[in-house]
Amino acid sequence: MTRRDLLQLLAAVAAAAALDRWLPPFGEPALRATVAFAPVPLALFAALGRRLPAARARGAEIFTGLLLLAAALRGEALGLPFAAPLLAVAGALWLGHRTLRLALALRRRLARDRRPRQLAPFVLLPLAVYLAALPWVTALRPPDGDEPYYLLLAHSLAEDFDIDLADEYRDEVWRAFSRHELEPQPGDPVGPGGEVFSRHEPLLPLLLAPFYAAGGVVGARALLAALAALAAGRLLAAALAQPGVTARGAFRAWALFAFAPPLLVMCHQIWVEVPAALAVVLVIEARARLRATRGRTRPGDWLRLALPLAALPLLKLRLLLVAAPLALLVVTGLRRSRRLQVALVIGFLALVATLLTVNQLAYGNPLKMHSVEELAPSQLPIERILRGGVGLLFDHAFGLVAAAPLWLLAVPAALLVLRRREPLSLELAAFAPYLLAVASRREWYGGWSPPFRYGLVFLPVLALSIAHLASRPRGALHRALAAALVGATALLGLAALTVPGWTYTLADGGSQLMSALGGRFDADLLRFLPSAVRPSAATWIVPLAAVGLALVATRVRAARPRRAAAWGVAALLAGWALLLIGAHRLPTRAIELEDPWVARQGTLVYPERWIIDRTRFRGGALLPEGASASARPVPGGREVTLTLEWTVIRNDDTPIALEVLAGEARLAHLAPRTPGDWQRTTLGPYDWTAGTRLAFRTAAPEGAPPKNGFVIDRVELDWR
Amino acid sequence: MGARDRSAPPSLAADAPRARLRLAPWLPPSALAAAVAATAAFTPDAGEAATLALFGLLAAGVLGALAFAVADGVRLGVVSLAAAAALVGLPHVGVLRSAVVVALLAAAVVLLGARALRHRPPLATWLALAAAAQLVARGELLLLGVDRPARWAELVALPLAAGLALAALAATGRQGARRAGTAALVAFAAGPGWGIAGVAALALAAGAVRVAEARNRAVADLAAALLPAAALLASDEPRWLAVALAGLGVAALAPGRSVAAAARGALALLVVGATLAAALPWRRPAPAAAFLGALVGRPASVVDRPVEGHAVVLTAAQPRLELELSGRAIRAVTIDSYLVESVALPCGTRLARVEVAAPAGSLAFDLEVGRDSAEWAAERPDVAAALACPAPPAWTSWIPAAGRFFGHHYRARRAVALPLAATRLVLERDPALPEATALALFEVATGR
Repeated sequence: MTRRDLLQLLAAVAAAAALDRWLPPFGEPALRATVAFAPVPLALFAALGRRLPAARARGAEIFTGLLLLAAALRGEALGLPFAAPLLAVAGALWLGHRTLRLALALRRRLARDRRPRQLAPFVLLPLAVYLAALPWVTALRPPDGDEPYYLLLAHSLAEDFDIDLADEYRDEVWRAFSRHELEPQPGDPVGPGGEVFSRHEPLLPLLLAPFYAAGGVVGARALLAALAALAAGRLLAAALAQPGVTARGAFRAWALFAFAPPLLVMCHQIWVEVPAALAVVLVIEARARLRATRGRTRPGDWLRLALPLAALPLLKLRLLLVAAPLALLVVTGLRRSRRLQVALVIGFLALVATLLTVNQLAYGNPLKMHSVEELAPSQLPIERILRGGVGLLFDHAFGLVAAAPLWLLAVPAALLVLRRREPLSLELAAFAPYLLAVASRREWYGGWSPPFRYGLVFLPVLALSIAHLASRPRGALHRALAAALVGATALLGLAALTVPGWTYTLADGGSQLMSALGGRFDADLLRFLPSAVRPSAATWIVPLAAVGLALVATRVRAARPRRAAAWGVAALLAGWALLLIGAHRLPTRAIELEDPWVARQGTLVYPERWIIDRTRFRGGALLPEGASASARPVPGGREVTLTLEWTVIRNDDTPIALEVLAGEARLAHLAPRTPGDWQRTTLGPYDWTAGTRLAFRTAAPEGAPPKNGFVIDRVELDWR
Repeated sequence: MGARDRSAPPSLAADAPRARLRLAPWLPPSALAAAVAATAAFTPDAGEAATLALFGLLAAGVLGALAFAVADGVRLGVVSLAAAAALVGLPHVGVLRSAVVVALLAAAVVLLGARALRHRPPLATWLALAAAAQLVARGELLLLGVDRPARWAELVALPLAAGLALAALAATGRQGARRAGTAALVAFAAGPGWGIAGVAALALAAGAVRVAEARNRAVADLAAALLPAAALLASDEPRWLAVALAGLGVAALAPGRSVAAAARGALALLVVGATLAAALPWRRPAPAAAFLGALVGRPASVVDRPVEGHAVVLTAAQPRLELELSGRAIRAVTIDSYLVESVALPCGTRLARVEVAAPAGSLAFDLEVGRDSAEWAAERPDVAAALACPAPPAWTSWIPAAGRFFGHHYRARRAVALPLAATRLVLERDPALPEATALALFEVATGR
């Protein structure tokens, strides 16, 4: 950045601070915060516009921006419900348009000049976008999951210069950034003098501490946004350093990595995943440069190699499974520098030994709360590992492709890299142990977090694979598929930015987005979406079909690729129509009572909402006394046999029974046999008329609160 | 041999690029229609399904017309996708969906239209753009039914006539395209949409410019700007707006680039705003003035909004609603509502008592028929004929499940002289009302 850029940025920061202090309240607090902070990203956009005259803001863009600002200030006059999110969407579209123009100008420049020092704009542009969204996301999605604990530790480091959290818990420091009451987490070590330490590694809080001290939660999140932007910029450099990758291919990989979920979502989250992804990018970039110099090192290379490798396990112990194979690759690539090889090996082993020793002393276990058996996939059924692996990519709530469908192209891209034996194939292989460990975990989905959390560290490698694929000419089918995937990705990204809470989902087989949509149509849409949390036929069929389509599309070089984009968008829209038609026409074979299309009254989710590691339990809907649930199945015949999987929860001896009804006609009456055991009961066959609702109802106790209930997991329907 | 006579004005057909019918640009609007039709078909709520069907038809029609004019599959794909997302994804809450879709379509017509008009478009492009713009501005005619000839005239004949006039205007010399664009914006803002007065003014302008062009270009520019502005005098808009539009039109044709660009931008903004204000859900009688009033009026901020997005109905059985407020200072109370079974109530009949409690005082006022609320179906012909009290201007309009008419919400607003730290708001339906009469509340808000 030039001096003018820096001065302008400083002025923008001052302006933002002044606006935050003096701007009168209007509309939603999130909207006000976004408007107050706007000078900062706009200053970055202006700096980029000066470097790219062809992409300077046009009169129409400035005019539209001012219009949006006026609308934000006068939003209440619109008289619209949800005015603030609407304005956020309009603002995001304006931002997207501006970003697109700048990005296209950068692409043209990149085609002319691939030198690394010209890559600064490829960091600034994502940073501007992330900062523009930061206040909105922060206001609507306060720190959650592990985030408050990282902030607590950052607070302790910034204020007390120690890692003892006992005083932070006592003084309830967490009230400044958490809606939920914070207590020490399971596994947090306790010192002999009553000190409370965090089970989380201190590297991220150490990085956060100065930014937290300067700007609180916003400052901490701004750091993460900066790290994410840096990761994007270095990814471009790493892509350009790959043999066979053109400027066009590198640009597309950069654009996907920087501006699509999951990074677009995770860039504001205080997790270790974003810094870990940056570390991986730096290692891959350094390796690519070593290959280019045939293993000859330059001054400073040892830092570029050692620091990111050391950072990975210091961010999170499980990332040792990434760091170790990458370290091996690095060491084997340093054949011409024996001294550096030895130094790296010794340093890495010393680091690992120190970590394990510290863990042993603090936790009594070198792997903290984990065990070696957890890392031995041979002990686990292969189906579970496959399910976790499929889920990481395709689960409709937690998978990468579900969060951003354009990442589907990473599969044919990775296969291309492996088939051609590109140097990147070694990095792909290096992630195998980590991915195997994650896929075999019960909590492969990342717990209470946005999608693909545990996989984010692998994202740079996928992006670089796509750089290879995107360097090849595209046929019409490829273009059409890409257009459809880009459209879907853009919509999902917009939804994730506007309603950040939607990216967090309980591991119950559903998702927030499908809950919002599915409940409207009185039909089971979820049965067509793959879920690794609650497996069904779609869990395997949909990914296979998607991958097959992607492979065919990227291999076939059909002529006349022009206007294929229109076909792609049309296919996407037609796909929605087909989904609805299928949901209302294909016979219902199973009903999961916790799904959004089931009308429920008085029911509760089972097990209870915030239970840890909920996939240990069979999920279902709990019908306490006086509750009911019903759904309208699509018939596949005139007769149906019902098979219920259910259990009962009893807290007293009051008689309790479950009625099964077709409309208002009673079909069956179930009384529990043995409380606590899951039972499978077959009922029928019954005559069935189309349009009839299948209902389940428990009688209400007289004058007493409900103490007992039925839990129904699923109902299978066999039609004749 | 074969040299063209450059002294003659260019004709509509000469040197114009041919409009070729391509399949690809039509695909996204067609797929949009299919997607929204499927969504409407499988939506259980009949009112929501009716809204989806109308706006789906509207969006597909507008985008189909734009496909003819623009032939840009990518941009049409983006707009189709956005329209589908808005129609399918937005909740059926109040006027949200209709407002967003109309705004989106208006923006698409302006932006894609400006793009299409850059390079001397053929007659077909003008006709298509005029039709698209009319659909956005007067799309509610699709709901009201196209079984009457007058509706066909509004939806088809007037836009075609406007397109012809604009194409003729565009063919008047080097400034032709700018004149046509400016005249189109001015005439459209006067409607909004293509009205008889606006189209007549455009035709007049086209003729006047053709005559004046050969003698004095400045006079030709004035004719192109002033004549369409005169059409505003035949509408419900205030007279000063005609002067303002004329001034903007003249400025848009000024030699200075930045002045002209700024004026064109202001005109475009006014057109989009007036179109929104005239279209569902607002349907303001003087839409341009209403839009400008909303733009420049004193900013309002909402303090509490205890009822929003769902209806609370006060009936004889459940006449009372108590709402807790935050205790922050307020200056006004706003209530959006409509009445059910209130046709026979005369004007001034008390509907409900509203009491706002605060530690240092209180505010109380009554809601009355004809001033603060009215029958929801006041526009339905049989209801309109039987109303004992004419309905006040509607705040917003919506599409009910049955019938080809619009339902209405009404807004009541009471200001407080001094700020009041309100802690509670109580609404109580008047017990003297007929048993069947209900007051449905859709939004209750306090503000500053």
